[in-house]
Amino acid sequence: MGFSTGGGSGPMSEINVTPLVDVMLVLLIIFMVTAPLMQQGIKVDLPNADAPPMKTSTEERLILTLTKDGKAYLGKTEVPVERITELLSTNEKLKIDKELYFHADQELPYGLVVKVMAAAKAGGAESMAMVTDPASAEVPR
Amino acid sequence: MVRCSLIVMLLSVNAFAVVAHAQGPIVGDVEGGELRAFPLAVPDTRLAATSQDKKGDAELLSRVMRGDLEMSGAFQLLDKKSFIDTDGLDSADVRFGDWRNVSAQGLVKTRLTLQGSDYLVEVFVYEVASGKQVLKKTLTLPSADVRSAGHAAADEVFRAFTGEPGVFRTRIAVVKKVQGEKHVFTMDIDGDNVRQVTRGGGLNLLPSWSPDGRAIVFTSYRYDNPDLFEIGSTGGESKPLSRRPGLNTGGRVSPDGGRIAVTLSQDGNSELYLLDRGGSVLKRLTNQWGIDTSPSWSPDGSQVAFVSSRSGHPDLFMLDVGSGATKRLTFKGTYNQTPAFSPRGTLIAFTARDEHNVFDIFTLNVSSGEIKRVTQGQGNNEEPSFSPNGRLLVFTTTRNKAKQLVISTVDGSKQTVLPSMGEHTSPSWGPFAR
Repeated sequence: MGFSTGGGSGPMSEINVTPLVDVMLVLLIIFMVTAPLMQQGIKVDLPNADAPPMKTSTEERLILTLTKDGKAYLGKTEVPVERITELLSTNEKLKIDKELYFHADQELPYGLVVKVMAAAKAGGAESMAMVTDPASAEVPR
Repeated sequence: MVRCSLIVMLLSVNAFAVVAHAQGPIVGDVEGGELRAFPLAVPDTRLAATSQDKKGDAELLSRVMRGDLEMSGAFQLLDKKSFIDTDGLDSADVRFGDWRNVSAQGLVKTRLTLQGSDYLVEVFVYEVASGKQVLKKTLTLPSADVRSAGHAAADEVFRAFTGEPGVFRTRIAVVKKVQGEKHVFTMDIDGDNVRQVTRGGGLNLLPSWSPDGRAIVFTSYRYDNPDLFEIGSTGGESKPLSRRPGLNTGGRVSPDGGRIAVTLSQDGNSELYLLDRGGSVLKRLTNQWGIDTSPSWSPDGSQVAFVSSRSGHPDLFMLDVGSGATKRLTFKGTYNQTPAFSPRGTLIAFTARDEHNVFDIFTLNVSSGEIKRVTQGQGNNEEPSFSPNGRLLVFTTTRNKAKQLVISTVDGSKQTVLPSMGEHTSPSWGPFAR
């Protein structure tokens, strides 16, 4: 009883923690209840419109295609595979868009795919969209 | 429970946060230094089949062009390493998709053909978004001077995109220190092709071009007194213009080429005078107790901006040459000097000492009086001079210790230090090449 003043009838020297625990428990329950709600968000029904789907022209995106025979196409033009790193790391559009659409044939060697992905990352591609297709990649038209 | 549901309601309101939608850049035309620089692709110069051995010249040509266009501040030169560049030069053969894929908005293709002692430089300029050909031109230039061919091609490209003449073939006069003497030199605007103009005479200072570009007026101590001389812009004999007792300095030829504004101290105090081209006094312009110096002509020749200490410290003033009416221009700072009128007559660039005792370049809007800063925090920057199209400034800087020249846009957004060696002072930008 370090803080005791000596007399048995003196002022209480210990903190009464009961109200504190009360309040903390209430807060804990509130956050437990609201946390899942925050994640779920709110379902909004968007109005329907008789409009065609938004056109996403391939011209506006930087698309790198690797075909089955190991040929690389940037946009619609064939480029030497060994130039891909240089072409992408200096590409201004990649610096602005920060995304590259990567269309690679499934039978390609893993090493080549990784090399190209590393080049795109060095070029500032923060996101790389892997264009997946059940059929193999074709030469872009 | 009531408290719980209240908080839930508040949180759900937040979920309606509006998603900001960023708008893409609009393809615009080139406009001044105020707008975003125009992304331009300048791939390497191609060689005609008959001139395949001229690889070095082709490289130099495209390097000079790129340097010029980048320095102008109007263009953002895209990295040539990102170019696929396997397409042709003519409209039908250009794959514009490839150029859109490097975010180019302009495209400049060139081809070099050796023909006798001349080079044919074919210039193809395209607007990438629309695929429109902006320019197709063949320049014929002496093959011995590839650099000027590059400057000439850059002038064509600049004009094609901006509608204004380029200044890439103009020259800059400057004073350089050589073996204890100071001499007037001229150089290309990229600091290359440096030629000595004055020889002998110890100190040769404060060069200024005649409006036709044929002569340079300068101050020389060759007779142990600061006298005013004139010399051909490629060198030759120096012709004395004014050898009066005391100062004969800072001569500037009027835009019509007929008169010279100069500082003379023959009356014991520095005053501005108007001389004819032979050196005879036409008129005394100022009559004040203070020092009056550093005249600069307005483009129409009716006004002269100058420096005077009549307010207690150096300030800029404007003088109407006809009526003699004088107006004070600067009221801020304690040291404002070296005014340079813009060729459009709208701005005066000058040097001012700021609150940190550093000299920097400022511009003054003649009609509104608004002052804008061009340089900041990069050493001392002094003695501005305007390019003849009014888009660029040249001035000296100590940002890398030795006094070098800087080519800068008028708003200071793009500044290029010229690589020329040695101490440089008093640059004066020459007129358009003829």
